[in-house]
Amino acid sequence: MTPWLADDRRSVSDRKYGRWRGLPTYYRAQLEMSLGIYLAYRAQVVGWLAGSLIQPLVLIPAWQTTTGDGQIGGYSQGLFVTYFVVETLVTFLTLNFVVIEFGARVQHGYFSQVLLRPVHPIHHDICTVVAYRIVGAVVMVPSLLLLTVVFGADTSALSMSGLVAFLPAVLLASLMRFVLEWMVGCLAFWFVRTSALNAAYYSMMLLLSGSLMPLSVLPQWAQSGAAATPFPWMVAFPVEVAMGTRTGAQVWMGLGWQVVWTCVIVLLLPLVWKHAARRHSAVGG
Amino acid sequence: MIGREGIVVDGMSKTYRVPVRDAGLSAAFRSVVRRAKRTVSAVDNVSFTISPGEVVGFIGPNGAGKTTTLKLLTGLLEPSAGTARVNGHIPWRRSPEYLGTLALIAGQRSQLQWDLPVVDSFALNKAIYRIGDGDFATRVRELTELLDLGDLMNRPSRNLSLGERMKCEFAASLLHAPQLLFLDEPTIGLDLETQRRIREFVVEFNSRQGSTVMLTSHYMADVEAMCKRVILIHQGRILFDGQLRELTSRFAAGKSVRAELGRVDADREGELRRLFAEHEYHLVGNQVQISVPAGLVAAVTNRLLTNFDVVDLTVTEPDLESVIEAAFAHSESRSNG
Amino acid sequence: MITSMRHGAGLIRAVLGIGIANLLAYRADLVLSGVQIALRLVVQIVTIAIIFNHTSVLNGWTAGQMVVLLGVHATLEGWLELLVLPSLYDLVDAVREGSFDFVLIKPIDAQLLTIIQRFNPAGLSTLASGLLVVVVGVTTVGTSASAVGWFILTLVFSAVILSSFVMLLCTTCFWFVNVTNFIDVFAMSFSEAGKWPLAIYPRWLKWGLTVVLPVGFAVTVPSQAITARADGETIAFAFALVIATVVASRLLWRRAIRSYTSASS
Repeated sequence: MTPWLADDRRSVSDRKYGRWRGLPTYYRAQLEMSLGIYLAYRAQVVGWLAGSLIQPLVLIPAWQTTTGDGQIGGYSQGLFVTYFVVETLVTFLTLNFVVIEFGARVQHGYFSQVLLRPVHPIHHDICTVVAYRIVGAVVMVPSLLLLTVVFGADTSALSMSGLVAFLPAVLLASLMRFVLEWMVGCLAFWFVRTSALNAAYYSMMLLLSGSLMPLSVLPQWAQSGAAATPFPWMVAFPVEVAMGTRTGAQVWMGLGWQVVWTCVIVLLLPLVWKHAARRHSAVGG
Repeated sequence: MIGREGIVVDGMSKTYRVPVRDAGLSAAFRSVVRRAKRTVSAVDNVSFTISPGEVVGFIGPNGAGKTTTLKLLTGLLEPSAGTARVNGHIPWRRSPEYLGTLALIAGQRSQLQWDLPVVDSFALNKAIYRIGDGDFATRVRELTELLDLGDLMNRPSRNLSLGERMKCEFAASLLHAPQLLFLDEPTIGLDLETQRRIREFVVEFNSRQGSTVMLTSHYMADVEAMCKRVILIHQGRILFDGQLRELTSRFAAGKSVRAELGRVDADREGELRRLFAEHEYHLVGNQVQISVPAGLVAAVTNRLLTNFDVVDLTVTEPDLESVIEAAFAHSESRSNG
Repeated sequence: MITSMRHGAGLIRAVLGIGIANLLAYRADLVLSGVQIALRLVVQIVTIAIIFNHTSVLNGWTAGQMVVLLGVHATLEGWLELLVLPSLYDLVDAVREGSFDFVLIKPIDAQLLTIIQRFNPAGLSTLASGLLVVVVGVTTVGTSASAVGWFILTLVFSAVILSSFVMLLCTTCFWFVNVTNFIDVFAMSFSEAGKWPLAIYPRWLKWGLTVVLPVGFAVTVPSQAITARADGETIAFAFALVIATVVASRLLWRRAIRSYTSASS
């Protein structure tokens, strides 16, 4: 059993909450509960984190070998290490289980319970995600430091100003990814078997977001193609900001794009959600 | 002695070592370093024999050692002491020859593949028990008819109701015509109609195949319907082993006389107290119930009829449940005193 | 021994029969998993294309050889999806819920029954696409009859190594109860680390992916064999690893059953 499903059955839903009033109370209670659940399932959490550390452990040597003594797309061996360490951090800070959870909710009929609550389910998901990051950071931060040392990262690129700009960039990336995946998750109502759909989303995410490689190693046409999609803004952009590849006006423009994408999705979300919920009641849960 | 045939259990014991720790944080830390263990005796020096073809009910409260005994006899556990032989086999060696002759059905656990049609589980068992095509077809037909399976077999186990699934469990477990049938609370959670069907089926199967059946149950109706012989087990020890009839006559203090009296006032109550001082009796409204030791029924009834205005009178045997309660109470008072 | 082997073969036939009968019922799953594996292979091949845009050889591995390696990886992944992982997830559940008793009272080797009684037909499409990619890769790099023989042998070795290894991990469920985590981490490391030849890793990681978690080794050796680059020493080592993992998983299993039947709770 997965903790996020267990969460659904133990959620705070007894009291009445107004549309906005009472939300802070709800957040406090739900966050406390989600934290408790992740702590109880800490072995699982460590398992997932170990799994997410395998990717950099493999990709770093792969790109180091490819690079040799030269440079590819502006990255030397040492810079590749830095890139993947920061990328793993960004993935950890932006990752959520919304898509998987949606499929499970629809398939196992948990959604009826979720819909019965007087609180919009998105708040519950936000609490889950925040709790996961708090608990996971305990393992993630030391592991990333270890990767930095073992593979000999070139940290000269990291600067104070880059790190300051990194904070809003990663926060917006996380928000953007959350709302986008909430929308992708809603599609589970239209297609009962969402596995192929999710696989398509994740494939594009892998190739275009910068999680498999820095986007600058792609051919020029692919780079400009990727820039037109929402994907690079969720991973590559915060990493590049932290590494000082994007500075000054480029940072402001990037943050602007993140805000634009997030707003577009947020405006579309109620429409999709309303149709999804109606569809759900039509199909029956 | 039955020789090599049947179940022969001699002085069998099973103790578990269970970790224990006190409440509190410091105790929790201590238990990480060194786990304190306590020995719990689940089955304590148990002996009995069962002849081939018998149906024996194993009765006792939760934790009495019923399931442990079944697990020992099916070879799922090794005893800490003592021996057991079943048709000449030592169960916990788990030789294929032995396992091929037994079946275990548990009301709370399923052996069917959750999301495959039941008939697939049949096919798997056919290969496991090496059942020939002809035998397989005959037995599937027979079991389908006896258990009224209809087309349930073609549905995945997850789509079956509890009762339907239990019937399929029985069918899947009996395809290899086992000589030994171990039933661990087979009717638990089932509706009355399905319970009745299962009981009838077990009786029918036993008389057709001559298989030995050992069953544990909480439902006295199971025992009354299926078993002539019962073994009462409590705190790992056997309290009683014999015919169901004997159980009643041994532990039932006697019978119960109920009477509806025409008129009850203070005077009549005093009379009751005087006449039945040595008996246990209850008076509710104008209904009186008197517990009477065997042999005194006639005297008590006579006394009632001559001294009171009796409207209605019945004499009843105590039900099995209260007999068993009496037996456990008896053993506890003995072990305490 | 002979009769028990024949019995095992009969059992495998029965399980295959059941699986194939269900294949028809699970057609949609088969198609969907086909789409997924296709997407996964596309991502991997694009990645290789990008890498070989910048270099012509990756520590001795050409683009064609890398394609072969991806095919071997998908083939082994299909094997794990088909039989091994579903069976082992089931084992963990069965031990926790007590239905493992029903496995143990069957007159057949419990380890064999455990590994074969569950079957996920969708794994077949992964396995088939993997073999297809191997064939495509081989047409660009060439092979020989003897190399194909060695390939088949080492592929079987690898399947056995991976199965026994993950079985070994899972057998710990008799003591630790919830070990689905171990399987998850194994599956994740196989799908990530198995996609690259051992040659790219630093020495410590190379050994780690050979001995500690043999996922790198299992994929690399057959890929070398089909392009006639596996030396005798490597194949002998693979064979030793087969023996070691099989024996270890067998021994641990027997210990587990002993501790289960002498039971603590």
